[in-house]
Amino acid sequence: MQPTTAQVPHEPWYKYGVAFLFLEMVIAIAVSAYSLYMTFHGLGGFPGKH
Amino acid sequence: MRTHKIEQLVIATVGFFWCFLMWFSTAAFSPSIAAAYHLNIKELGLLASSAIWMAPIGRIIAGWASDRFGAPRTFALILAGCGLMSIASAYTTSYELLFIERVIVAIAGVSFVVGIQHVAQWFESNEIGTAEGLYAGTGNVGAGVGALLLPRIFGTSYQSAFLWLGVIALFIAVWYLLRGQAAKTVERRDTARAASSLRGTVFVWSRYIAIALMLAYAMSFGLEIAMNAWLPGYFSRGFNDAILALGFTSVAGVQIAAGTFAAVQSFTASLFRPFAGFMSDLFQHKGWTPLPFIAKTLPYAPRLHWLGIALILITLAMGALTLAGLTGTLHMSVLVLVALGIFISFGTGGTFALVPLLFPDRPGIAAGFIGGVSTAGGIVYPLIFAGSANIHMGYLYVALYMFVPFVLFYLWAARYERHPEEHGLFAPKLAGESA
Repeated sequence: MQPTTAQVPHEPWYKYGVAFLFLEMVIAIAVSAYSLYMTFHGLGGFPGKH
Repeated sequence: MRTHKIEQLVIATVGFFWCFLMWFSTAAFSPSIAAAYHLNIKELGLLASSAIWMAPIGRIIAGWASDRFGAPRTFALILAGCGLMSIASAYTTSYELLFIERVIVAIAGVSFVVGIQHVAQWFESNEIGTAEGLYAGTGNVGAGVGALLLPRIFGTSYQSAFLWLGVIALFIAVWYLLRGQAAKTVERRDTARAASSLRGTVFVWSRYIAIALMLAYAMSFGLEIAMNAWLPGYFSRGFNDAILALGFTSVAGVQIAAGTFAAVQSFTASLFRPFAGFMSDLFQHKGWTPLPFIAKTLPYAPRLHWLGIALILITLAMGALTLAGLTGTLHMSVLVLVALGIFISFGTGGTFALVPLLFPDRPGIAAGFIGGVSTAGGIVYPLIFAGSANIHMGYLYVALYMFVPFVLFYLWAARYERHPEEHGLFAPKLAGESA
């Protein structure tokens, strides 16, 4: 593996990899927001119900 | 055998995910185990902490072994060994024996560096950040999935869970062995094998930039695992009144609320990690080098800058966490914690987007050193947090007395415009590097 500063075009898999990581981020934000909403309203949250 | 690098990435990610699931499965069932064996709070704490005992030394050995014998063999051995021990622990009736068996199962956590080495041997420098991020971030989710799903699937029957986790680990081990290939080319595999001597290990361990990356990982992943252990207790003690005011009046309710706030850090730190690798790739692609002092002309200079930014953000967030705690604002504290989790992911993803580029001939040894020694942070930070007179001040103390010197050392070690890996405690020749 040779490090390079030249702008090498990405291979086709790369866009799917990036899409997957954005999906993971959306899941992280959604689960965090849901858990915090539940907890700040006294309804429970991760890891179980109140 | 025909294969593709994506297949190798998937194999490594599934293997790591399952190892993480096994690693933290003891914690997921600790209430059931405590009830079955009538454990007191100290014994429960010992059981929880045992998960991390094997990580520092185990990762160092695993990193070396993956260079020496190839990642597929090393990973398959870890999966099979931990799987068999997990199966054995399902039939154990003595707590002492169960404890020892679960400590051995926790060796599964060392597999991280093996997969890092495996992915590094297959992907090119322009996509290494995203590839390593996808591997590590998706694999890390195994811990969260374990905490969320295992108790819901198996209830209090931890024996069934340990049995199934072990059996499936054996299947993954066979898959890894049959389909995994150590490197993209024979030359790449042979280079890593040839460099895996004791002299090669001394070379990596003595490089300033390797030490700086190890400290960077201690600031990120070391902090992440420290916070996993520390935060539930912090919120239940430091914000007890605020949590009571939310309506959580019972002890179990306070634990659930505190656990939720703590889990936010762990979840964001894990799931934002691939994004951090992507950002490292993006910095590289755009050639961004905004920080002073750090090299600007190295082939991977933008990645060094991205990691530098992450380390500064982590330090600032730690100070902000103390500030939010001192004001007694629970909402603010949780908000800062979300930010800290994201910044931690920038640090973990940023570090391992660099390791294979700095030590392309010794990716396993470098990953073992940087990913292994840094886990000691998980033991040190909680001691400082707990030792502070004011429960909120520990974050600031760690930031000022540990993280600021770490960041300064990183800036200093990353300043070389040519071959930073040649600079270390010994001259490269003395440290075993012939070139």
